[in-house]
Amino acid sequence: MAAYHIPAEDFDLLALGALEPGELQAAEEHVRGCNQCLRDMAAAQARMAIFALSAPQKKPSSQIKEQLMARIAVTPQLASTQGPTVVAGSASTPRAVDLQAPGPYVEGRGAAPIRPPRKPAWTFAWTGLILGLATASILLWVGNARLGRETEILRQETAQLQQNTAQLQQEEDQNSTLLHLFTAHDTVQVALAPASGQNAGAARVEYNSHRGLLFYSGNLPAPPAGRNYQLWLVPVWGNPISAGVFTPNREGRATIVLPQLPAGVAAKAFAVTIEPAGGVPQPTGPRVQIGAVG
Amino acid sequence: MEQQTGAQNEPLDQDLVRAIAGGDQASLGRLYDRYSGLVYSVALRVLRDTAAAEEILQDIFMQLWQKASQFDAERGSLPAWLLVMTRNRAISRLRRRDPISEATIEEASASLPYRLDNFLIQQELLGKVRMAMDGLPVSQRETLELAYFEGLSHSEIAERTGEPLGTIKTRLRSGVQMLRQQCDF
Repeated sequence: MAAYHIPAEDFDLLALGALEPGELQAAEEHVRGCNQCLRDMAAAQARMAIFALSAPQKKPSSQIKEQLMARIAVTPQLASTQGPTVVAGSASTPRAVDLQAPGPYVEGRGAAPIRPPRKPAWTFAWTGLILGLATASILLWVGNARLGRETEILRQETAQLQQNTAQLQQEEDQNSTLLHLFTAHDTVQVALAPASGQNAGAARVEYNSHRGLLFYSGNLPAPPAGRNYQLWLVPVWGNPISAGVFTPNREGRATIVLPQLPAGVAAKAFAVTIEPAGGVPQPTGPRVQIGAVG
Repeated sequence: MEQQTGAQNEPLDQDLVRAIAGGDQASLGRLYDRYSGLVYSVALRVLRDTAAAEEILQDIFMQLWQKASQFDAERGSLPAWLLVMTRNRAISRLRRRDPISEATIEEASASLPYRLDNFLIQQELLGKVRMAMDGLPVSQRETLELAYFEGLSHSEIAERTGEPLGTIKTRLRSGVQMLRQQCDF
């Protein structure tokens, strides 16, 4: 436990990096050895991150994602606990040369050197030629195999890039439709409250009847086993129209983004009911959230 | 039924990070889609240079790819790491010195008191923060921006603005307080 702590009012300056270099170094050294100040530092960093959100929002070029995805396709990941790297030919690996047969001279104790019979020069020429051809064949085969692998990697990367581009386009279309939904003058905002006796959170719906655009965001507990939630648009005239079947995520948050709805339907209310898995054509289960338009 | 296609339950950041640690490239793509705008905007605001901001954007996500298995969602949140690290790198590049060491950032592992993992939540929060910033007195806002986006120390800000050092420190602290109050953090 440290004998002193950084004054509370200095944490924001520390997280901003607005302390002088000497002060900064001392504070950092202290923080990294003091759990209490480390926690305060984390909280200050989170507060300072608010400023990041005040930066004017710009979208990076779509090429950046393509480049990134191409880079990660060929970049290995670091393991969480990475063991020692084994290097071929390292000290622990016996070298092939150690196992080579003895050279052309074999010397016995006290024996005279035994000289092998001399071969004619053309024998060496042929041997050299054959060895050369064999080496060239092996190199060609290795090169060919490597090219094959690289071609396959490139093919996979191209397919991945095409898929990413299509996904980006789709998301961009969805985002611009959503922006229209949120900024259009004829979009209504409807707050959904828990129905009486229901253990549900609040929700909101943004609805543009002219274009049949809808966004739902709410908090709900997990539905009973074998059941889903279903959102209903209750029109001014006619039967309720399903606006999506959903299950909240582990944190209890659920969104429905741009379900397929007919355009030009005036709504008088929105409701969420509990229905059999997969949804039903008309509501049958209990209402858990409800909100009237206007 | 056809309405099901509209239902969307977005995977949590930590689930995507776990998938990335298992080598899933598509999950990195999803996190990139979720946060690249925020990361890029911060880097661009600091550096005012498209190419440099793009480079930082790629570096940050490359680091996430390479070190996903070391990311501990229990200790800190991904958007906090992304924003703090991006700002730090951008300032580092701009001023040729680290505002704070990356080791300290990693060790502190900040968690944001708000969510950012959804485009709409992001838009709502961005609007709120911008409104809160606009509501600050001009001198206070400028002081905060000089510290956050230009990485100036309090004495450098005092020198640049001609204000006493004590005034700058007070402005920074009270500016942060006001912003937190207005944003309900």
